[in-house]
Amino acid sequence: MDVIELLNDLTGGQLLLWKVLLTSVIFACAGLQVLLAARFYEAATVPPISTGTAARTHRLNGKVTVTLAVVVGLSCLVGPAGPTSPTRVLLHSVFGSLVFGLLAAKYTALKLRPSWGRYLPWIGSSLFLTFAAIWATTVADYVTAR
Amino acid sequence: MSQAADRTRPNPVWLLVVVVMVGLAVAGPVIILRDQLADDPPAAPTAAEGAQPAAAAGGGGGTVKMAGLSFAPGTLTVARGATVVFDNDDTAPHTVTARSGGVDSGVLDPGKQFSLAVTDGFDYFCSIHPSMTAKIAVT
Repeated sequence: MDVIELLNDLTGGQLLLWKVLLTSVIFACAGLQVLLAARFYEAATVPPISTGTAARTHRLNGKVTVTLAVVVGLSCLVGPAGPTSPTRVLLHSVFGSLVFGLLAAKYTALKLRPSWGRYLPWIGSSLFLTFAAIWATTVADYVTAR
Repeated sequence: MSQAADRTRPNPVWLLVVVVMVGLAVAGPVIILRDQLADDPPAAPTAAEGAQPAAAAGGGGGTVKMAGLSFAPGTLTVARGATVVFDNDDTAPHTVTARSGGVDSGVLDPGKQFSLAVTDGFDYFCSIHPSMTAKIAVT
């Protein structure tokens, strides 16, 4: 049994639905990350929590988001990855690859090259936009196609 | 000063995390490139050999589901002239492409269908995922 068959069995034959749900959760978490970052950079007053709480929540939410993104990304790579047609599928592959490139840049800035910290707001914003593009090229299509 | 801070020995765990992320980032393009290089372009459609458009369909057909990167059933036996519906219920786009040419559905996005009136059996595959193969038999 190959991996994609195993995943299909684990999800009761509803792998696509699960991926759609998780992609939506990831997108929502990415939006929350931007709000929390704006709060602890003191660029926004919402959500109405302290900057310390915002920073801690940002880290926790980030770990959840990245974990889910890796799970969904791997389920794509072991299964349907490869086609470049139609354009929507190609764009989804491009954004799916880009998001992990941006995550690599973010972890590098956070943990390996502290002097890159000034780029974090740009990397974070790009991550949110890329997650939005991934959502638009899959979930939006899934919903409108049914 | 910030450059001096950068020179401290990197935590190997975070170095591994970055390497994994880079690996995931390049995996997609590598898979696309591999598939592009591996794909044999299917023969150009010719005069229908064993299959005609659904407009000429007859009754007593069947359905082939595409799910989990496979066709099910692997072999579908139908009456001559019956209509076979190919239903893409998968997470990926697929094609129904006859090995002998003559039948090519084009790209079927998830949720799309392709109907065919079959007058002769044929072996087919997905030109996007060549490991997906199946057969239509006619009685």
